[in-house]
Amino acid sequence: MSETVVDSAVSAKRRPSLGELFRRNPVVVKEMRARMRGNRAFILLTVYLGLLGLMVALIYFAFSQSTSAVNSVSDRQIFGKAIFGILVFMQLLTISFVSPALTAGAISMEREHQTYDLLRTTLLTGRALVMGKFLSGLLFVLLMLFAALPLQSLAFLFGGVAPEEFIIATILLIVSAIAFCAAGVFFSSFIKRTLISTVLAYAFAIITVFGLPMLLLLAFSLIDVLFGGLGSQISSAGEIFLFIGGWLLVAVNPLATAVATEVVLLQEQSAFIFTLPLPSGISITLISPWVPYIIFYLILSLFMLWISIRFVRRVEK
Amino acid sequence: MTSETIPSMIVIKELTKRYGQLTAVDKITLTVEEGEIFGFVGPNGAGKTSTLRMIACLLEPSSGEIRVGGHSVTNDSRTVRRLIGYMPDFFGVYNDMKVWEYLDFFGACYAIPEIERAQLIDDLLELVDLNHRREDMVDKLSRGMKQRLSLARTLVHDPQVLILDEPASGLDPRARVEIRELLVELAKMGKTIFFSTHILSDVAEICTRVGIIEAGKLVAVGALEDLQQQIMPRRLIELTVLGQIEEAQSLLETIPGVVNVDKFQNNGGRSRLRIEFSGDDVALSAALAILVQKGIPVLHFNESRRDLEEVFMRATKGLVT
Repeated sequence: MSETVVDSAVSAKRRPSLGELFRRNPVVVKEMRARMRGNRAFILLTVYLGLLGLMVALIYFAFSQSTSAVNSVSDRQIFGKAIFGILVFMQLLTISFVSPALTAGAISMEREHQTYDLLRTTLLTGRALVMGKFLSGLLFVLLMLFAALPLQSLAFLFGGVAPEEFIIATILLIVSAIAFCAAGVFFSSFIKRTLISTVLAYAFAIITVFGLPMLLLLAFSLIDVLFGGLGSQISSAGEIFLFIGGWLLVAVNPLATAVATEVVLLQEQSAFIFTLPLPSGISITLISPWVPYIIFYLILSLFMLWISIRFVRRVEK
Repeated sequence: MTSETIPSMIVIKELTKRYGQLTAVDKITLTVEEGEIFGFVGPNGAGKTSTLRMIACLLEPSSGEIRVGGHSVTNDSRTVRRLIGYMPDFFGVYNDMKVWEYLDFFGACYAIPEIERAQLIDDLLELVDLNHRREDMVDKLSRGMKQRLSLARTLVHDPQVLILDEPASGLDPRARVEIRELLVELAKMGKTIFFSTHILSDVAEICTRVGIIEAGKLVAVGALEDLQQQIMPRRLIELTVLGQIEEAQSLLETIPGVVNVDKFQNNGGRSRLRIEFSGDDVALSAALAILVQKGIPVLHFNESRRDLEEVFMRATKGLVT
């Protein structure tokens, strides 16, 4: 008798596997069942991989036509890098277009289908609902990312891509997926209509990917003007402030972060810390932008999910 | 007394709900005992749904108190949600779901372990007679079937109290009877049922007690017979005789309690009389005994069904908030 008690106590303490954790959330199970039903998911994945494959084939074709020395190692490395870079960019685009579509209706659709009240009378917690919606969206985006791995591996065949580059790019993509999915759930948690929520979730993704680079351009041209015209007048503290500000701006955009991280990797041979000499002669030590990027977007995602849970928990007044 | 030791299943005290200037529910006080089928009757817009949503922990009361099984809806909503099964007046459809998955999902939402769910789903589908549609998509079901599935959903966690908003609305007569039979069966299983309706025959046939709500105010509560006595001291009796109509009429006029007798129809040798009667059940059965004793060929003797509507019409004034 006492043994069984101990047994159950032990099994209760055993940490559940990730799969078990997902299965325990009814929303994840339900959403995944619905999402993978029929051939919709299969067609989506096939079209997506077909497009990526077509891109790679086109690059390959272009290279084999234009370069006479495909046999030279450096050329092949350029080819490898090109495949890798373009695929990462395509995947980023995919994430920013698919994530809002998967999550922006998460809660608002429950309201529109009049199932929200049903859920709220059950024992399902606000957290389980929000996290279930978020995770089921994210899992599908991750499936798309991982499905493209064989294509990515072509880059390794040609060389030129370091493991660090690959790992950092994958982390950046996953964090971006987390942020875009969290934003979708966030908007749908307090906006009643799915249409508006979807528009806002897309706006968030598009501004993050494309809007911020324009802001960056503006910021850098401003710095340029300052240094071009008033460079001599600016104090060294102001100069440091400007550079750190610019660096922070780089770290909120996935494209700029990827490019800047790549530059740091190539020029400074460092994945984490690099030293930047300023025009005035002082050098400042900065962290490679991908680190603040993931910190910023993970915190932002957690914050958006937290707010969503608060909205969902609220009893109607 | 037992009523003191067993607390009432649902206790509503001075419950009020205001939406801005509008008072949807106005100081409602009522109790529902365990095992009762309580019918909440009122015209559209009377505040029925608001009241039910407040009991189901979906809507915050502006003031007043609701206790279910002794637990406060506002302070202990998790316990209350475990105790109640709520069925709204619409059917929440997930397009991409099979019948069994629908129940499985809600079972999981009530934290019922995965191993127990398979058997539970079988039992529930059998109870609502949907076993043959197990693998069908939910949105392919007919309205009556959806309603039955919905009822099965509210039973997933074996709640003690069922809060049902218009469970029979929009159904064809057969489906309505099926739902009604299910409710009676559930009450026999010991469940307390609190349901709203504007279909009076539902109330008459299955409810132990009725509450009539109008413009947010509870205008009458009690067993239907008591309400009839209260609101309509005169009951309307229909009597069909095979001949001797004049004798029947003059005899009736001498019986105590009979206020008025009208001949109102005559077809195929049968004559019908409408009697206004002010006595109770004992007096009424005595009146029938007298008729039979005196050799009046009584074919049919019953209380008019229109009575129920009369009760409703007299209790309410046609106000809508």
